[in-house]
Amino acid sequence: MKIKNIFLIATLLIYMACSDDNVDTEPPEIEIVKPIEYDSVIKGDTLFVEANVWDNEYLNSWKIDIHDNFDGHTHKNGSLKNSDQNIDEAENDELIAWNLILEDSFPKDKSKYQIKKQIKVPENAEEGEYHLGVFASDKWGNVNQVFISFYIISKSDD
Amino acid sequence: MRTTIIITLIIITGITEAISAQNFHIAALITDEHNSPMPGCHVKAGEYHVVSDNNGRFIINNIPAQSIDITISFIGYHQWDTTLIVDRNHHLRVEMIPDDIELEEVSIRGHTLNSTPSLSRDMINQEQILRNLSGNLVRSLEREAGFNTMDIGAAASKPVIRGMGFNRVVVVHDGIKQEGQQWGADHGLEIDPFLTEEAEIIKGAASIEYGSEAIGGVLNLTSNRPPPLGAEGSITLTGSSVNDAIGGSLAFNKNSGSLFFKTRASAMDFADYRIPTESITYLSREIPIEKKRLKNSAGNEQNLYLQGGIIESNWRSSLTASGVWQKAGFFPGAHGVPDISRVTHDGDHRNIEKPYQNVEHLRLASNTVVQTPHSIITTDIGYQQNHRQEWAEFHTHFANQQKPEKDPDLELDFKLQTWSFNSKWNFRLTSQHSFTGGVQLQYQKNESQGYGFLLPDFSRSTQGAYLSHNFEISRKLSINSGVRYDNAKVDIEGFFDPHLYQYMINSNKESEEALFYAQRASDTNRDFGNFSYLAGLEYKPTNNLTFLINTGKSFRVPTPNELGSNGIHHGSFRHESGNKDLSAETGYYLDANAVYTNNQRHIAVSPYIYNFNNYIFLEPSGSWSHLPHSGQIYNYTEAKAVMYGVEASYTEEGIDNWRVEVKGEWLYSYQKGDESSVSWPLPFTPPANIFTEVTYLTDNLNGKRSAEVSLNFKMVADQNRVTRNEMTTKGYNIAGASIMIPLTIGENSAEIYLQGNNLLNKRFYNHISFYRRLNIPEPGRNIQLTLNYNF
Repeated sequence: MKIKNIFLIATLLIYMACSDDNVDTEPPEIEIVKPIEYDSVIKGDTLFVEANVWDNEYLNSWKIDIHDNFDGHTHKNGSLKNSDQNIDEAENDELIAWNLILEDSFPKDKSKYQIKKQIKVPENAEEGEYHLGVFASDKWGNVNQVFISFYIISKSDD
Repeated sequence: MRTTIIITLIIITGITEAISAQNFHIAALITDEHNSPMPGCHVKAGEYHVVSDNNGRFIINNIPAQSIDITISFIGYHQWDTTLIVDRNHHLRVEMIPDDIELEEVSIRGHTLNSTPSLSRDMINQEQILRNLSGNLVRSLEREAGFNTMDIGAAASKPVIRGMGFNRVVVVHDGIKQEGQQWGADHGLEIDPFLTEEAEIIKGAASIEYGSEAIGGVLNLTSNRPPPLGAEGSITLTGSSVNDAIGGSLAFNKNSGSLFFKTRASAMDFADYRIPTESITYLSREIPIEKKRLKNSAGNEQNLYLQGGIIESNWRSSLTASGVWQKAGFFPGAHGVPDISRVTHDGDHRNIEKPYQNVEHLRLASNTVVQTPHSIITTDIGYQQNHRQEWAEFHTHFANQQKPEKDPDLELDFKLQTWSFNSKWNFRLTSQHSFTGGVQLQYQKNESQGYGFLLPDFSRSTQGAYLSHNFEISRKLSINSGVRYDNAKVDIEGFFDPHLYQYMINSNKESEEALFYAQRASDTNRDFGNFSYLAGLEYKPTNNLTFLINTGKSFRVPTPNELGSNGIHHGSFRHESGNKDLSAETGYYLDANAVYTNNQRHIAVSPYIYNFNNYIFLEPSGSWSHLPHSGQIYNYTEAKAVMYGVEASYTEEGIDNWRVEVKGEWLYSYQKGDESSVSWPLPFTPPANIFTEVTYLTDNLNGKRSAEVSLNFKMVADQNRVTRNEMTTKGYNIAGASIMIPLTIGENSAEIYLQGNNLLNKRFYNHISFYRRLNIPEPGRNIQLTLNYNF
């Protein structure tokens, strides 16, 4: 009898715990339309970035983050003017592991928006796999992020 | 030392004698066969009836000169009788001798000196820990109400009491506060799961006795009890199916009456653990979980423990040296952006590849207890070194950061050394009044290395002194109060990263911005001084009913990472920015405990409420960080916060052959930011849950112990009350079972424990797990066999 009472009280407590507040903890949803995952872009060309973003309330700001995914590989990391370099690597001297951060606020009071950017890939970007990340925040600070991989290639690879 | 005690005693005796003219007092200390104090003994002295206190003492004052018969009794022990001629004060030492008849376990509480008896406590002994053994010590205690675990896979866990973890919970090991990197979500508690003889969970602010950080509660672990006379030991072997774990422990103890030593060696080796899913979704990508085993979650652990001690009639002392070595892998998908190639099965489930962590925790401690009829003095001195490393293939985003020549893959290395000194003196003045005074000193130094930066070098020195008073107004009512002052000095060494600075400049950022990001930690020197206090009441209207109520103020010194961090913390996957102007976190609390206990039933209900003026937490700033792989910057801020909840437990035993245990808890929390009027829940709040176990005990086999068969259920509610950027977690129900078979092999006892966890192989998520963000579920079905042989 006592056990039953306790179970009843307990079940009540458990369901009470599922109460909802008026706070918004839903982050925005992001969908990267362009580029498609594992797409390639030739260095010097334009990278078209398109992302659809929507939120249950209002969007605040966004950030595009492009950086290399050379971690753990044997690529050179960035522009090194080392005196240890040998002649074969002289050509690579000017290549850089490209990274770029673009950010901006969404137009006020929008709950849906499409980010559209045309980004010039530098001529001296090092070839390889890169990450393209899109971040979006709503007015409460709920943030979401989506990443895709893409490749930067040189003209001769076509 | 002894002379001082005797002189003080003489002075006090003199004063009391002067006051009481021709009346005298009898003061006594009652100890058992291990020289441990025995609380709860019934004492009949002439017409006087008293019960020995939590420290095994009793005092009867104002006795007119007469001849008095004294009888002391306690279940399981021979009755002790004597006749005293009371023509002077008497100070007795009573050694109780156990009965030869073997009885059901009698729970004796209060082996350790505790000066705040009004707090809510749960005691778990070594046998119970072994019965519920689940990978590590903290997980084995998970069923207790108000206690939760923050897990890092199956390898390590940290305690969470009343929803508070990290640096709001203190772990004390044989009187000394265990110091590791508690602030990190991916750092567990380094202690041998087989070592603990008794675990005590103190819920609620225990700041008076344990200082800063004991806000949520204390996990008090004891492993320094003198062993029984003679030589004895045990061999334990265990294996678990969920992660192909195999391990064991060997203990050997010898007590010659005045000298004793204890040794224990344990080891555990485990492979990638099984989870009931073939893929997880993280950052919108589907990551395959090949063969349904979490890649690189394998690990191993070795523990060594040596203790030597002396037992004299008035004092005992022990010296302990121990080492814990742990190595465990991290799921490769948890570091940075997930990469499918890194999570493919490498053919070996037992290997530990990078990224992985390893830790070595060395401890040297001395514990001394002096016991006299009036006083108990304990002194603990210790040195700990916690050396933690994280290894990951060298990677950097910064163009000019070169791979180091020595240890190129050592990402993080923290060497934390802590020197501790605690001493407390409990003095029983009369049968109603006892006082405790204590001093705690600690000096801590951290040195960091590695190609990655996370925690700066720092040193911290703390001093605390406290005084508490216990006043037994009547047999039914007693009051305790305490006050403590703490002083802490924190020195953080700044760190400027030139590679990051260059990276920012190369990315066309302004110098000012580059400087902000490159200053990973700023030189900080802070002093914190604070009072804590407690007032509590214990009311026992009948023999079976007890009401406890406490209120007070506790505080916590901000940790070095809260004061001085600036950068990506891969443990939480975000850019965290410290604030060197944070004040100490202070909280006011009120908690109550209502307990009904008789021979067969034990019912307890404990509601509580905490009100923080400046709860330190990470607030999303809304501005984007310009570090690669980062979202927005989170700033350590202070805010008002409130948390309240209730724990309830019901235990029934001895009715026919059944035992029933029901333990539940419910928590609610919210925090108010400065600017908005919106209140967000606090992060990492455990969801409401109930644990139920029904056990059938067979009739005593061979006239000795019973075998047990149990079935248990854990029902956990949804956790929809989350803060910003925290994920909700669906509730779940899981079932488990266990069988315990006691054996007698020759003259020795042995036990077989067969345990099943998550019998239905359900896929569920622990809201407060390190791997929650990656949507990695908890381990699947586990069958565990443990064999224990006592010789």
